[in-house]
Order: sequence, then C-alpha cells, then structure tokens
Amino acid sequence: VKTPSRSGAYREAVLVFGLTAVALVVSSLLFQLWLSSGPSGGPGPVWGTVFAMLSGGLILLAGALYVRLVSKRVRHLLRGFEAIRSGEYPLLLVEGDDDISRLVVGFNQMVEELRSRHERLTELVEAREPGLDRISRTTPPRDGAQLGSLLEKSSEGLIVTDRDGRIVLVNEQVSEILGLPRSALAQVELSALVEQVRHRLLNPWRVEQQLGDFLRGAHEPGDMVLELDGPEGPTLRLYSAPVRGSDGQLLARIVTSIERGNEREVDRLKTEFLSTISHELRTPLTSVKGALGLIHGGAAGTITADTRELLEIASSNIDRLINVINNILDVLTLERGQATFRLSSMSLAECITRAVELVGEQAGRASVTVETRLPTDLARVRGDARRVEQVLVNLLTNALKFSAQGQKVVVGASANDGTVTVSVQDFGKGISKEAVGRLFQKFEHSEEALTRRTQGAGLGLAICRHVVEAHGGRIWVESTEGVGSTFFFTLPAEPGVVDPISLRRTAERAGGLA
Amino acid sequence: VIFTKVLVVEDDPDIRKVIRMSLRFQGVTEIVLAESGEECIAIAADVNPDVILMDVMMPSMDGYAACRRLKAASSTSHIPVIFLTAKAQQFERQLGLQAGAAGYLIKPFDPMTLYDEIRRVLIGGGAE
Repeated sequence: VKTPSRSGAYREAVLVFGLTAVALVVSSLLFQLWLSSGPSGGPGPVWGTVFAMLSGGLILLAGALYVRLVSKRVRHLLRGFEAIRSGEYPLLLVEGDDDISRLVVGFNQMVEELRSRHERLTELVEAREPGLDRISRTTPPRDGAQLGSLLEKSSEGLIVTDRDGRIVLVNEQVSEILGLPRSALAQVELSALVEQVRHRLLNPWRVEQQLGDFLRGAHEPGDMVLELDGPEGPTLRLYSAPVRGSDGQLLARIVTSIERGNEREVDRLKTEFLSTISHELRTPLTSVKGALGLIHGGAAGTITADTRELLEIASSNIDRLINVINNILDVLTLERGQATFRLSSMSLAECITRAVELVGEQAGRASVTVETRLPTDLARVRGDARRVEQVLVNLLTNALKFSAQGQKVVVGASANDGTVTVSVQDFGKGISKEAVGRLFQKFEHSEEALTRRTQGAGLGLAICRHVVEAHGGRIWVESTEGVGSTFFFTLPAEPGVVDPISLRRTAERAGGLA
Repeated sequence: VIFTKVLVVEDDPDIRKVIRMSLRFQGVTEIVLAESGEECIAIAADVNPDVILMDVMMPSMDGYAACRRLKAASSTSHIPVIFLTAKAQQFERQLGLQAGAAGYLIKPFDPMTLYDEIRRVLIGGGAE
C-alpha cells in the first residue's frame, strides 16, 4: 500500500502554470519592446514575428506538459483497477487536489470498503466451519490423496478393479484379512486374487462356480462368500457393484468385503437345527404316509370309493409337506456346497420332455397347455440330468401356478456361443420389478404368490439358482406385469455335439403333449 | 431274489407297525422286530434274516454303529443291511454306505412299494 503524498502533484502543477506565467510575462515584455523600438517610433516587423512564435511555442509546451501529466495519473488509476481484478486491494498515491485526485481518493475508499467486506465474509465462513466440515464429508473429496487415505482407513475391505477385473486399488483391510502383502494384491486380476487363497478356501468348488458370475455380472451387483482356513477361520462376504459412466459403459467395479465373525457358527447352527427339524417332521410323516398308504392299498380290507378319494387327498397333501421338507434340506445342502453333481453329456431335449411329462397332471388340473418349442439341431449339454430336470420341473410348476385356465406355458431352448439357453414362459400376471430382484433368494415369493396363497415355501427358485450356477450357468427372469414372465437359464453346451435322434423323438413326443 | 425273513430295527413303535404290515401285505412271511441297535446285534445271528432293515437315528447306539458291528462279526457279516432313515442328506447316505450297508432308503416311504425297493437293492439295482 502506497503512502499518499501531495508534493509530486504540486510540483507538476506549479511547473505547468509557472511556465505559462513565464511565457505570458516574456511575451508582454517583448510586446512592450516592439512598441518602443521602431525607427519611426512604431514596432519593427522582425520583433513582431519573434514575439508571436515564442509566445505560441511556450503555450504549446505548457499544454503538452499538462496533458502528459493527466494521462499519467489516469493510467495509474487504471493499474489500480487491474490489481483489484487480480485479487489485490491496492491503495493509490493521491497527488494534488484536483478532480483526478478526488477520483483516486474515491478509488481508495472503494478498495478499503471491498477489503473490509471480504474480511467480514471470511470471519463468517470461519465461524460456520463445523457445518462446512460436515458438508465436505458427505461430498466426495476432490483431492486424490485425501480420497486415498479415506479408503485406506475404512474398516471395510475395499477393492476397486478396472473394467477388465484388474485390481487398481486395494486397502489395508483386505490385505490384513487375507494375510497377503499389498504387493501380492496390486495390479492382479480379481480371479488371480481368489486363486492365491484357493488352497485356504473351505468351499473352493462353490467359489469357482460363483466367481464367473461375480465378475461377469456387469449389469447387476453380485455377492460371494469366501470361507478361509477351516471352520475357525475368517469368512469374507464380498459385494461387487459395477460402476458405469453416463453412457452406461462399465468403467470399474467396486468390491467391498465384510468380515463375518460368528456368522459361520450361526450358519452351522441353522443347518443343524433345520436338519433336526426336518428329521423330526419326517418321522411322524412316515407313520402317517405309511398308514394311509396301507389302507389305500387294501392292506386293511376293501374300502369305498369315497374313502379312497379322501385318502388320496390326505396322501397328496402329505407328499406336498414332504416336498417342502426335501426342498429345505436341498437348499441347505446346495448352499453349503455339499451337493455333488454328476456332470455328463446329456440330452436337454429329452430332459425337457421328461419334465413336461412330470408336470402333465398339474397342467391338466389347471387346464393349462404346456407347449415345447425346440430347434431341431439343439446341442447336447453338460449337466446332471436329475438336477436339470429338477430345475425344469420347478420352473414349470411355477409357470403353471401363475397361469389362468386356458392359458399356455411355453418351453423353449436355443444354442448360442457354446451355451444353451432354456426358457419357460407363462402369460400370467407377471412379477413386479421390486420382487424380481429378490426372487432367487430362499423363502422369497413374488407378492403375487403371497396374495394368491399359492403353495410352496419359496425355495424352488433358490434351488434352481444354486443348481444352474453349479453348472456354470446363469438364471434370470424377464417379466412384465399384466403380460407374463419368462424364466431363462443357461447350461454349457457340449462342444460340437448335436443329438438329432433324441431330438426328433423329443419333438414328436412334445408335439403330442402340446 | 426272493426274501422271506426280515429283521426290522426301528425305535419308533408306529413306524415298526407300518413296516411290519407293509411287508406282511407284500408277502414277507417272517418279520422280527428290534427296538435298538443293541437288541439287533444281540439277536441277529440267531434270527439269521435274509435282510436287516435298519433305522439310523436311535438312542444309545445308532444304525451306523450297529451296522459296523454286524459287518465286523463273522456270524452276521453276510447279512445285507439296508438303512431306512429320515436322514436324507447326501453325506448321510455316504456314511451309511461306508458303514457297510447294501442300500439306503429314505423315509417317508411308500408302504406299497417297500418290498420292491428292498428287492431292488438286494439285486444290486442301486443304493438309493
């Protein structure tokens, strides 16, 4: 800040007006000289010219000096404005007491005002800092280092991969839980990370089944459980979420992990409990089913038609109950990866036909037609025929449940890129978007199922999911409310193997059924 | 394969009755009942049945242990043992077969086909 001074302005003003005054004095002296010097008492022509030139030159010089002085002070003021624009608060030298000086004084007052306002604002902001701090915590920090340390301090394990599944960021928590150095985690594929802990996994087989979907599911989040180092070791539940750009392209994938302490113990107790309950239910049911079966079969003498009908009602409901118990056990076995699958080359077409036959009675009761539409060159698949049939029967049973009288259910299949996709389509009420996401969880029903009080414990689709995933396939549903639902699942095709003979037979039989 | 003498080992009296009626109705002439694994071991050699139909979940000695004991004794090792149990999980079947059983049947069973099921196992038609 410059100290205002008046001396410079005075000097210049004095100089300008002094010179003008000198010029006027000189010219008036010369004028008197001219008047008294003529030979005849009048002025001579030479002195007149000298007087005019000299006085004119002096006036011009004074004017030029004045203009220069004014423009210099205006430029000074302009530099002051420039300084404000670049964030400074300059005070300018005030010279003299003219209009320009008053302008400079006004400028200085404005600068002072601006500076004090800025200070007041700063004080206000500082007084409200706690609030600002809170806001900045809920908005993502822009600073890379700050973000990095936030992630590092997270109590949850965190892995970020690029779109190809390569780890680009991993925090301390992950390396601690897995007991692996950071260097072993950086820049490796997520699948390579799982491979590194494979020998410590309690359920490597199941993890391998899940990993594909976990990484492949670019459009949906996935989860996967890693149980490490025997029954007492840590259990990690990994949640994967895709990160997409505004154009929907997959940019990265965030994997968070939560270490589960006693959840495994809870899981074990749950299994044990359900297994015991299931046994305790089976035992009395054995007596009931046995007794009813013996009466129905004539072991206790001949029975009337009405008795037979009543016994059949009782028996079929006992079978339903047994089925629920079986499904509970099945889900538990599948969930824990204890189920064994005998994978071999199998005819999907034959399997579909068998499944359609198995639900034939239910279809008849519901007055729903089951139609099979298969290509004639459908590839064989690699699978456990008994399990694939179970999936088909479950899906068909569901489709029939949600079909109205006179409607149809369509089973289709198509091969593409080493995969066979099977579809089971119904034209029922459809499933709401919210329900679709939870549908493959155990004990989940669509609201539709609940309101219609249809039978089933909500285990069928959970079983389907486990079985399909164990085959390395995927299961999903596309549904429109009011239009119907189509369930799809995929199975790996047997490379290059088409089964035309069984297919032709299947097509004929399916045609007969439809 | 025709079998006429069956030793049934079952702790639940109702199920014992159902099994007995079912087998008798289907032509088995001699049915001996035991209520526990110990009782089975005590009488098996004397009874010398064509087949032993054994429950798994029984107090004190379970079916697996009883089966192992029968298989270990020369006087009973030749008698085929078939489990008839509510323990339906895969690993439980494995345990049963490891104990030396000829087959594994699941409760609840159909009383009208029990005889055929046993026969199928004895022929070697399958462990399930």
